[in-house]
Order: sequence, then C-alpha cells, then structure tokens
Amino acid sequence: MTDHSDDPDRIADLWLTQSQQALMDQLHSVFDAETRLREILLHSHHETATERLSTVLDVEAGLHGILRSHQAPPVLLTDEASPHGTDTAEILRTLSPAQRMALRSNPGVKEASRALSRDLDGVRDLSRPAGSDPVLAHRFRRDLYLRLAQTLARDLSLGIASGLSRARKRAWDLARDHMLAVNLDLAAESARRVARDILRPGNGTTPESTNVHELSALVDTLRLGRDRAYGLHPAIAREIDLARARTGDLRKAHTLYLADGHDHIQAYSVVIGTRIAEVGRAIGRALGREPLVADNDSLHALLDDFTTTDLSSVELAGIDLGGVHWSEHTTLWPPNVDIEAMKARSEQAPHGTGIWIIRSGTATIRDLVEK
Amino acid sequence: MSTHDPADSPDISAAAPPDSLVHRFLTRRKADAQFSAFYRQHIRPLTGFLINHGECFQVAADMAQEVMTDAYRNWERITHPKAWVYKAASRALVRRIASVEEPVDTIPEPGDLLLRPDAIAEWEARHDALPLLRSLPIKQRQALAWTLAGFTPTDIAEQLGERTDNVRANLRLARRAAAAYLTAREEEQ
Repeated sequence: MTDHSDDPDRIADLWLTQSQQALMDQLHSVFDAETRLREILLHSHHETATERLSTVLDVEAGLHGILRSHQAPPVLLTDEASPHGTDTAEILRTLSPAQRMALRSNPGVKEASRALSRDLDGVRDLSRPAGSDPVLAHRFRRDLYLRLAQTLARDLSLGIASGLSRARKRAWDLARDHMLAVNLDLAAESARRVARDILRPGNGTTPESTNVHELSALVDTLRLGRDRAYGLHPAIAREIDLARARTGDLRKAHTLYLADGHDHIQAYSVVIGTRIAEVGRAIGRALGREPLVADNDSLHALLDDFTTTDLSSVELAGIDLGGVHWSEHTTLWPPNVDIEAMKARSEQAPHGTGIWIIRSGTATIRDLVEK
Repeated sequence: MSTHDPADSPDISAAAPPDSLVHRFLTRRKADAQFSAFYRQHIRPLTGFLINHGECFQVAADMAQEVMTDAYRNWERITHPKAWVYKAASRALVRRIASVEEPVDTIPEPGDLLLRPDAIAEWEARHDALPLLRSLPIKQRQALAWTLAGFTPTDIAEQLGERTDNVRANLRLARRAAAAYLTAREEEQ
C-alpha cells in the first residue's frame, strides 16, 4: 500500500476538505435557513396572486355594489353573474387572506360547511364495518342512511323556501309584479310542505305521492317564475335558478329516502355531492356571484388551508378559527398571536409536517394573543 | 369546516382532472415540498461555494438566496436543480466581478436572518483557507470551489463550458498552491 502521509498534494486535499467541513459546520450555526425558505415561498405565492388580481377584480363594480345598498352582502368581485359557475381557482387567486377569512365566517357558508363536515363524519360511519351482528349492522346503516337523506331533504326544502321568499320580496319591491309574487309564494309554500312531510314523525311512512306531486308542481312553478323574472333583475333570476338546482337535488334526496337504505354507496355519493354543491352555492351568494363549482379538496383549499398564508396584517378579532389548517413553518400570524397557545388549541397533522388544525369551537384570536 | 384527515376519509372526490384547481393545488404543494427539501439541503453548501469564490459571508448569503428564489420560480422547468443553482450562482459571480469598476456598494449590514451575526467576522478571521482561496487566480479558485461543492472535473467542464483537461490542470495548480501555502505556514510557525 502506498503511504501518502507525506504527499503535499494529499495533505493539501485533506486540509481543504477539513476547512470545507468547518465552513459547513459554521454555516449551520449562523444561518437561519427556515426563515429564508419561508421568505421565498411566501413571496412567490404573493406574487402569483397579485399578478392575476387585476385581471379579475372589478373594483368599480364592487364599490358600486357597496354604495347601492348597505344590506347587500359584501361584493368582492364582479357584480353581474358570469354565465357559468364560478371557478374556485379564480376565487383563490382573487381573494386576499382577509377576504378568505371573512368568507369562511359568512353565516351561510359556515352553516353549509358545518353540514358537509357533519355528513362526512356520517359517511365515514357508513363505510366502517359495524360489528359482528349483521342484523344490528344493517339497522345501524339504515338508520344512519335515512337520517342523512332526511336531513339533506329538509335543508334543501327550507333553503328553497327561504331563497324564494327573498326573490319574491325583491321582485315585489322592484316591480310590484303580482303574477310573479304569487308564483314565487306558491313555489315557496310547496317547498315548505315537502319539508313538513319529510320531518313528519314515523320514518318510512313518507307521503310519497304528496311529495312527488309537490316537487313536480314546484319545478313547473319555478320554470314559469324564471321566465318572468329573467327580464326583471339578474339577481332574482339567479335566485330562482338556484331554487331549481336545489329542487333537482331535493328530488334525488327524496328518492334516496324512499329507497330505504339499500344502497349506501349511492347515499354517500348523493348526500356528499349535494352538500359540497350547497357550500359552493353559499359561497356564490356571499360573493354575489354564480355558485362556486368545487369539490371537497378545493373547498378545503379555499376555506381552511392557510398553511402558506401571510396573516400578519389580517384583523382576526372575533373570527372563528376552528378548522383552520396552519403551518408552524410557513403561516405568518399577527405579531401578538401566541403560537404556543395556538398549538395547544390545535390538533397536529400526521407525518411531522408541522401542520396544525385548530379545533372547532375553541378559538378566536382573543384567546390566542399574548397577554 | 372540514377538520378531517384526508388519509382516513373515503374517496370523496374522484381523481382530480389534470387542469382542475385541485390538481394544480396538489402540484404546487408537491413542488413546494420538493423545493423545501432541496433548499434545506443545498442553501448552506451554495453559500459556502460563493464564500469559496472569495465573497464575504453576507454577500454570499444574499446571492445564494436570490439564486434559490429564481430556482423556485422556475422549479417546474428545472430538471437538475443542483447543477442549475450552482451554474446560476457562478453566473451571478461573473456579473458581480464584471461590475467591480462601478462604485462600491455600501457594505451590507448583517441580515436579520442570520442567527448569530456577530459570530461571522470572528469566524471569517479563523477560517484560514479563505486567504488562500482569495489569493488564487480566478480559474483555479473556480475549479477548487466547484470541487469542494462535490462536482467532478467532467461536471465542472460541462457546467462552465470548458475542456476537462483545463479544469484538471487548474485544480492541480490550486492544490499545489494550497500545499505551498501550508508549507510556508508551517515554516513560519
């Protein structure tokens, strides 16, 4: 074996390698790589969002909407509805972190999201093996199935009724259109009757023929009302379109209810699909736009995912943060937020991602500021 | 709001279509995760690479950060990130050297992103390979810095658009200079 111990080049190589190692060790002790990484990620996301903002945001229309009526919901984007559903990507690009926080706190959005969350839990129960007794397992699934279908049908019926009442009031205020008002009253009453029948005690004895008749009448009435409202005001036509879409979903939920729980896969598909659509509709209403076309993941991205968001300048007082996903590495909070208190009120996501989920009903920002 | 762990939920949404928001969102998350891992692994060696070229700590740290920012912006198009950032850093150095005739910039303040800014000057004084590196002709310094960053002469030649023989020759000369420096230092002691 050759002895290189006295080879000057070899000694120089060794010295250079040791110096390089010392350099790396020193860099580890003086260099805050995590903060620098976060800076790149946040800066770039912000740039992407602001680059596209001007192409979508219609400031004048938003201002006009605010000045026109104090009762109108906050008009964040263009006031006139687009011919197709609103795209989640567009909303995500356009809304600031503060607007996203406001959106998730909107009562309609919150209620629809809560119903989706609750039914997702229900669907999980449907998907799980339910003990060893097949009779009990069947009964458990049937009861759960009926409850999901019944609650969905009730919510849709009541949603249709209240939407039509709003449309009726607006149509009356605008044009004193007796025909349209009567039309909408009849439709709303049909929806309420369906809701009452569905909620009648004694599951499984639903007055099938009554409800089928009511739903057919409702569809016809809404078709007439829509034609009449079309020239009156786009917001009224939009409300009627929404009622029509909900009536289609109500028919599916009703059929599901009558099917008496034989096909829980179909139940899951219809219930969750409709609940997601309902959240999209609530978001559309809150923004004064067409219903949002979304799936569960994109709703999560829009409403809950703040893992790479800069919230440092967002006024969070009074905002319910339950369900917010945040990262200890890349979420920026206002300086007075106590991160340790935030962690104590959150569940940690798995796999060591540094992502936390704030538990529902536990936190507003007042609880989390450093005293 | 959903607080569910997607991992244990049923398949609520079908596989995301390629152009959907979900697809883009997941793609971005994946890219962020990949970039973050790359950044954590390479930001310090890249800074060291620039220091080995003769830059002071603060300038090297800022240049490395700019290069990494560019890498993140172009992440989807970059196939060999390590080679890409070192080449980009090398080009940034060339631009900096080319502008030395311009008025000298204000000496940068130690950044607030450095954990112990006061330790830098002390460390630079102790790091005795630095005087040697700074005294080498630029081609030798370049060959040595790339080698210390883990690149072979063939890689270096490819990245710098030079002949491999030339890179090897510069590396040999740099090693000899290092050996002579060590000998002279021993004699002084």
